[in-house]
Amino acid sequence: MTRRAGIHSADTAGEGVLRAVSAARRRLRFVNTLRLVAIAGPSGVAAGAACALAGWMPDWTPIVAGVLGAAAATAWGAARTPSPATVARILDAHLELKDRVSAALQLRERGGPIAALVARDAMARLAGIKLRTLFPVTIDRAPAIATAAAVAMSAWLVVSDTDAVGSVGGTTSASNSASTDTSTPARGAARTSAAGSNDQTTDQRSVATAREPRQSGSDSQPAREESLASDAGASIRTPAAAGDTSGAAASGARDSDNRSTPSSAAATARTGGGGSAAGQTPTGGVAAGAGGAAPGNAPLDAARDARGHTAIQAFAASYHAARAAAEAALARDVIPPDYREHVRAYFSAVSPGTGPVTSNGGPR
Amino acid sequence: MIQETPAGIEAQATVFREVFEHLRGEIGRVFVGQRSLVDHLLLCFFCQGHALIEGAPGLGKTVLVRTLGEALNLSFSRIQCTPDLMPADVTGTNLLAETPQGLREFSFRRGPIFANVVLADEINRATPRTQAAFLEALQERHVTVFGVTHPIEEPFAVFATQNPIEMEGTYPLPEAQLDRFFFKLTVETPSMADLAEILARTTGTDAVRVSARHGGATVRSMTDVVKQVAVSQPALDRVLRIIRATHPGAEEAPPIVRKYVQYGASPRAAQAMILAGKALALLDGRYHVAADDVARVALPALNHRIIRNFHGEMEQVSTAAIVDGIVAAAGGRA
Repeated sequence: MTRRAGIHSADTAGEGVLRAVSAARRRLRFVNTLRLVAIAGPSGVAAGAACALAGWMPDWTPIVAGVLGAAAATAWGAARTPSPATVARILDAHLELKDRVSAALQLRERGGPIAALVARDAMARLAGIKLRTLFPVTIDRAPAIATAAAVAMSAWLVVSDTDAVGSVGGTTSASNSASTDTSTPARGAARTSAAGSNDQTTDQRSVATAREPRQSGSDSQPAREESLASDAGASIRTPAAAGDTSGAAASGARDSDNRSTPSSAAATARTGGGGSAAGQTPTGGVAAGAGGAAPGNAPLDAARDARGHTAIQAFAASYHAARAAAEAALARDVIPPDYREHVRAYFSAVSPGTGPVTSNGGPR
Repeated sequence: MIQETPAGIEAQATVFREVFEHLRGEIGRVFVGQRSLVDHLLLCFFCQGHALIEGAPGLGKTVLVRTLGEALNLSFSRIQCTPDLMPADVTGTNLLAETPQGLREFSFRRGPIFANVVLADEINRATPRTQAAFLEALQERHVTVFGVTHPIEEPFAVFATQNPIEMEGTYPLPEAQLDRFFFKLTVETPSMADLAEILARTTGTDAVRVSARHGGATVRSMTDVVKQVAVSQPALDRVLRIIRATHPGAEEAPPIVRKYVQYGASPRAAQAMILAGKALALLDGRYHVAADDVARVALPALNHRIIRNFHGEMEQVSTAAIVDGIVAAAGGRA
């Protein structure tokens, strides 16, 4: 009777130890998985934000990378669940049980009076142990670093976008939502290609002051020495400096024009189609062309500098270097004197802050 | 007697702890201080092992062993080893005797080895031939004289002492014989307080009388219950790592072993650590050996089984330091 009772208690205690170890194993898996998720999720967000900042990936990359990291961490945590023997050793080490749980688990299948005593001893020690207290969910160094990196990178990404909006909005009287699309070249290009209708963004309204009355299409008005910017796919030159235009439409034009570097100032910018004149320059030039797609924005976006600033700063910064180079070239004898003056007049006209231009494109 | 029920084993374990405490107390009345030495000696005895006790003269080695025998009401004999001690003086010999019928025949007269507790005092002063006479008794627990085997009654334990400072005219025990000792224990010089206590106890008129209890049957049942204790896998792993780490050619060997050890421990060392760990576990109220138990008995079990090389002896690297390094390398404190 005593022996049967002993064996019965051995089975009971052995099962109890097994249940306790299983519960601890689940708790450890949960805590470990949570920790991995806390590392991988923010790490994915940080990496995605870094890629987005570099212009390699679109804006939504951080979210997707974070979700993917968390999912991978969950799968890894589930796959790497410690074995019952390992969990028993962890319990022994945490509770300083001198291998009681390990021995009970080991002897459970062997049975016998010693196994019963060992299991009972282990169960007595495990009674009242709260796994949540024993294996708490804590944020240690690695998840904290990953989270901080994610927050920092995301904040950088957001601030970078805000800077782009602010810089454009500060130089134009009527900023528009399209300015946010220009934070990175890639994102700007993507947005340009995506915006195909007239009513989507105002930066697709390209307006340029006409320094050279090269009109295209049927809208030319030579008597006013005006240059009408693009109407239905008109091709215009865009050397206009900031402040040369006014009005809502002009601000849109500035947003587009000011991305141009001096070298690209002479380039032809294709602007969107269909629209009407919406403003007039102080010099009488008509700022025109509202709406329409801007498939030619990519070269303009390329004028952005490494810090993501718009071409307003890039133009101002590189103007003097370009003018000095031009002066050096003019100093050579091979340049005809008439042309020298023409070139100097050109640089005076495109100098930052210099507005009035002649009707033939040269400075007054 | 092997118990088959948890209640029976628990009862035996309780008795074991009581007997151990009784012996510890009784020995403590006679032998001052050195708690660790006493505990290791008792562990060795309840595991039915033999111990080599090393210490300077006058430190109480003989008193310690004699008190153990007296406290357990066991037969005790002492063999003072000298160069002229013969094997027959240890094991016994056949004597020609006359029977009541007037016939003369040989009868075996038992030597001092036939006792429950044997003290072989200064065993390194005996000749190798006489030392070899101990071998069979230590390992096989019987004596063979003139082709007749005479078993030695259990419990049986030999406690040999040796003096480390008087080496002239001695015959150091060979490694094979050293390996037969379960533990090698070192008697340290007493502290100031212990020395004062020794003087107070031994120079007065009060004679300490040891209370004898239990007996051979109790010791045998204690030995049985010790053997029933289980060994956990972490403890077994620790023992295996320790034994492997004692060998300078093994991967597990720490730098101190590679540099200063010539030969490592034999499997007997592992047996000793496991058995002593079992007794320690019972004392701690457990029925399984933990890894820490093994580490606690590593030094007495390995003390005489690790043979230092020339560099180790020249630089006077102690075996204790080597064992510390081994236990640390095997993943536990010494």
